[in-house]
Amino acid sequence: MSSLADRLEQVGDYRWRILRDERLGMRTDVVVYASKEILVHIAKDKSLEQAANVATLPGIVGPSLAMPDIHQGYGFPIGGVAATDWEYGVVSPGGVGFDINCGVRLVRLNLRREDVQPRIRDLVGEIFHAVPCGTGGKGHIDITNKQLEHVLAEGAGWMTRNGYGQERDTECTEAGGALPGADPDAVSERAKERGRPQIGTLGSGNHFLEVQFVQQVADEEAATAFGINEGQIVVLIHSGSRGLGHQVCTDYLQQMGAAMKKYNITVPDRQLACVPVQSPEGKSYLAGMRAAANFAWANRQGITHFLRQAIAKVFGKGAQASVIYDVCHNIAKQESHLVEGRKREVLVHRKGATRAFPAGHREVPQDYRRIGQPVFIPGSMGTASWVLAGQPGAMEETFGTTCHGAGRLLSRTAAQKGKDYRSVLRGLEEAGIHVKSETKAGILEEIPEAYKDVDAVVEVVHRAGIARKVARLAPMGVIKG
Amino acid sequence: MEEPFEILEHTADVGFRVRGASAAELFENAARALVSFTQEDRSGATERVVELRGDDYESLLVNWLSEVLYLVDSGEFRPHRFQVERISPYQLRARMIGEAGPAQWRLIVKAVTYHQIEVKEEGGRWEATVYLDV
Repeated sequence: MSSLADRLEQVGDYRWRILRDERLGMRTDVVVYASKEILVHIAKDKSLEQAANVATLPGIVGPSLAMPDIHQGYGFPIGGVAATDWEYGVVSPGGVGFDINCGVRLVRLNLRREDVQPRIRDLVGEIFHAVPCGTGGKGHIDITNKQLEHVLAEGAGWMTRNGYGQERDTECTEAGGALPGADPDAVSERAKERGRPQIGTLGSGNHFLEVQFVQQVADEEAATAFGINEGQIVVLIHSGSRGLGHQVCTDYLQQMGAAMKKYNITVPDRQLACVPVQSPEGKSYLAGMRAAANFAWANRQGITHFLRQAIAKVFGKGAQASVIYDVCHNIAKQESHLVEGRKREVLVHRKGATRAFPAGHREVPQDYRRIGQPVFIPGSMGTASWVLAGQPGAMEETFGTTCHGAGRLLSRTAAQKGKDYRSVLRGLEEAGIHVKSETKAGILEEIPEAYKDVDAVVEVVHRAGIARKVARLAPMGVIKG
Repeated sequence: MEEPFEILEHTADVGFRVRGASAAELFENAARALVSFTQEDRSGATERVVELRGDDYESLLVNWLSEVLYLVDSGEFRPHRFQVERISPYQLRARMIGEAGPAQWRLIVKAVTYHQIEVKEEGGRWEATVYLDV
């Protein structure tokens, strides 16, 4: 049980606050977005302590924010958001995480549920074969060291220009699938060695690819703009920067200890290590982080390419797969936000949180600009996922950010306890969900009971005016590491 | 034989507590705990020597496990036996026995974290706690 839980005070509908406590070194308040029911879960682990630790970061602007899917991470809570001053604040690699630009891409197919249901086994089998999980090392894309440099600088665009997709794919990707200011030289040789054979692979843990159908449309106008309607098939891809991003974070954390002494910074948890944004170390980390983010977009682009091949194999060349959008949920980005009526340049750390810019924002693609940025919230294996659209409340309160998933309740070992692999699979089959996984643990750890109810999480951000419901997606086929 | 490590619960990730009769044995057992996330292959007899530095035992342990993780995940080398030949809070020299080539992960470990990391010694018994990002 969190010792900070009894300090929570309700400050509005679905909004709770822990006031700044100087004895804890907090420089600002913690604000949590949650219903009373979700709050009970949040108070069970260390997420509130971690959100309070984030509030100690030098140069933090506005409150340390916690989304309704918040759960205990390492250093930052997962579902945590913190903006720091671009000139005087710090950057914390822990505020991004090891899986830099872990994110979600949603692809719509010109197929309907009734077309796919009778062939779901074939489709899942083909995708499983075409999109490797990478547990055994390498994927299907061979690139040279020189080509990898281009991937790191140009992201998903390099992939589409080299036969792994269509130009429109990058137009419908956050930041166009490449962050400016990425420097391949800020990525170690080790990170490049780890990542080079892994491009176009899913990974394991909570990463997955899911064939879904649109079960229910909540906002007709937005769904039409996103090109989806009830009964339509979509594919959700959840993956990140693989070993390359993990090594970039590992490398920079190794350097942070000495750098923090130099800048006289202390933090309550070593995993919160940080340096001034404008220091040589901070600039170098951001240049490397952006390159890793670009690698992640290239990775999801590679996965999309192989997905299209698998779809064509099962349903012929007439089957089209179009990217709706692609969002990252582990990132630090330079953005302009109004804070207490004043425009400020900040670095927004989103650790398990998704950008959710509203209608009219210039970074929302033209096709969606009158609706708001598409946001995708994957549920757990076998449960629903959601398509949302960014709302003005996000710009006013959360640095243009919303939740990223259902949020775990049970540890991986607790999830596996007393569960039998075959009966879990049978249960999913009976619910009409065909699953193919590289490992048995991959299935048992991600059982629906291990997560919060995604509908309840989405309800909070919808009612809080941060992101609104557009459509609920139900799973038919799952590919896992 | 009882493993000298136990897997710990954590909402999002996974950790282990490891023991040893000396700092060297503690570090050897921690590396064994890490490679227990792969399908273990004890066939190779190739040797590899590494020398690493750290600011204290905790950062040295993170650096050591990150080294093993890099070798495994890059497909460069899959070690199955570890001998720490020299160790202080600031540096270690170790010999790994294994084989060149990629390992098969049971659960891909992304990274070794500093989250709640602790290395302690009491009456000649060494113990450490480490959390991994998976």
